[in-house]
Amino acid sequence: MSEDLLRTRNVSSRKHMDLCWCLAVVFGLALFTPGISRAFFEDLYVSGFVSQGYYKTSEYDFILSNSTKGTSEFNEAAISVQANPIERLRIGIQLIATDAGDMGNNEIRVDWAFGDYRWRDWLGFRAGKIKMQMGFYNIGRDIDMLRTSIFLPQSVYSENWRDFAMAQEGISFYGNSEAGPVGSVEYEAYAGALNVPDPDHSYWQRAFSSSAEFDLAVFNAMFGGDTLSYDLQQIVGINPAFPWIAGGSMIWNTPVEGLRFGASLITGEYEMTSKALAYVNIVDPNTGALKSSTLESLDVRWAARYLLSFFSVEYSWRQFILAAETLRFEQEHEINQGTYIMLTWEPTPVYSLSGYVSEFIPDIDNRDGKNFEDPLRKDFTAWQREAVLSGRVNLTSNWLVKAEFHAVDGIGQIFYTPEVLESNSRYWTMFALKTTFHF
Amino acid sequence: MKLSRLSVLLIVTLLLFVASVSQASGVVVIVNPNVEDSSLDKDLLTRIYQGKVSRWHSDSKVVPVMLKDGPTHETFTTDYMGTTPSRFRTYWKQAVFSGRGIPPKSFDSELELVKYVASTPGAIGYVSPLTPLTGVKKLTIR
Repeated sequence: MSEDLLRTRNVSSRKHMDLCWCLAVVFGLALFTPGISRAFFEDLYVSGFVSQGYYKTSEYDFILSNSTKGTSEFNEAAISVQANPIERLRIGIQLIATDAGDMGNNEIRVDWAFGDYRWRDWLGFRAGKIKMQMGFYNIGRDIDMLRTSIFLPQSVYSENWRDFAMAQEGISFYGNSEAGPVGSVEYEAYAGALNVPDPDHSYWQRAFSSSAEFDLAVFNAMFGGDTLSYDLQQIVGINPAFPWIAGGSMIWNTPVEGLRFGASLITGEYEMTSKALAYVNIVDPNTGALKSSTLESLDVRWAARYLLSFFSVEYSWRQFILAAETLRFEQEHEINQGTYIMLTWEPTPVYSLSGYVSEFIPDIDNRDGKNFEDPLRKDFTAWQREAVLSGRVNLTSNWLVKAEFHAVDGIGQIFYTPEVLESNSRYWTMFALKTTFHF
Repeated sequence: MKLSRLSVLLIVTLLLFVASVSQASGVVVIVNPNVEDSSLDKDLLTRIYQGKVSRWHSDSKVVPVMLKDGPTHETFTTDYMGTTPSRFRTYWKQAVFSGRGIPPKSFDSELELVKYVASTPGAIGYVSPLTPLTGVKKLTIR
């Protein structure tokens, strides 16, 4: 492992430890401050959960590394503590450890931790690491017992983003208000930065090296002159950063019982830096002959702004919940889109079934895969469609088991690598089992 | 046609039984006597138990409490919250594990709940109509 990687990881771990210490001091002060310690103890609320899963795909390592072989590196454990030390003020922290293939590796980190001052019901203020309201279900993604399905629809809630896009470190204003005969509204606006806890995860390596922006950044890093090309040998010291993010969401609870609509808008910037070891080839522009080829260490950097928009609807009626959401992600010249519709049936408090269909389009201007520049690229890399069926049994009020099957068409959410290029498997499947204990 | 005395007695007994069963299957919403409100809109009650409304009209703190389970809890969540006990529980699980709130304090027995509401300013709870009420006042739900 390079020094850059070690440094990045150490800085990330140190940041989390610093945050843990700050929160320990805040809780400690609350415990020993006269007048508030009694209330603090009375209201202390502790919860937790532990999940363990198994996951296998018929083709492609998707979501978890080594998924084609089947993997049980698929677990989560969390514990949260909250208290109201004084009226209107709530503080809390949740520590979480996850293992998702080669991501997480059960390192304990802060999932969320913030202070929340609710001045009025229509205006409150939070500061710290705060879960972001993106669509209806982002804030509950880690919490397996909330839903029947094991995975939320990947077209809208990509597991690739889960490590860093769940919570922002900054501030938030929020509230809710009655809207008379038209129901009520909940709203939130936030701003801060995203922390990438695992920058040396292979996701970044794959995302980095397979993108057009990377090619452009390498060419920018190379010197000018004759026609150039490069043969990439290694990328080291990848450092993804999300220096700022700002967003807002609104949920309208209509006067029709069980019917609600939501919209979320998020914008921000990311910056990627790394070193690329590559053979820089200088070619004679007239003859096309290779004049020289030297191994160079190139400083590669690019930055881009992005915009995400979510639109959501959910209707609960008797034993059924119908939900549909769409996500649009815009980044410079690229727009991708995800959509799903899901029906959940809860005939008893013990059993439930859920099914959804989902579609992800990486480039909305090339929905059918006919417009790729690369003639060898398969058309089914232009979409990923899934039909999913999930079942859940609550064995006790604190223990549940789930099973899930995905029939997939296309590989639009799999990074376009040489191995993927050689594959002809348009149709493939995913299977998952999971059990969760919670209190 | 004349009814015999026995028939009349049977009919009256039956009516009284039906009345008592229908009353027992309902829910009485109670508050601490210091709460100024004497009636509450059903939607407002729902929003209180969802943690979205935290102040009474007098701006004092609302302290909702609930039962852990049982028929009274089931009736309350179905009739007043418009949901099921399991979905109501899921709602609060999401709030807890995302840091959005702390669920209402819950009790195993209705007598414990009444005692807590009686001694806690701003408290609101619900019990079966058959539960003896001491030191609390009933709230009318519109």
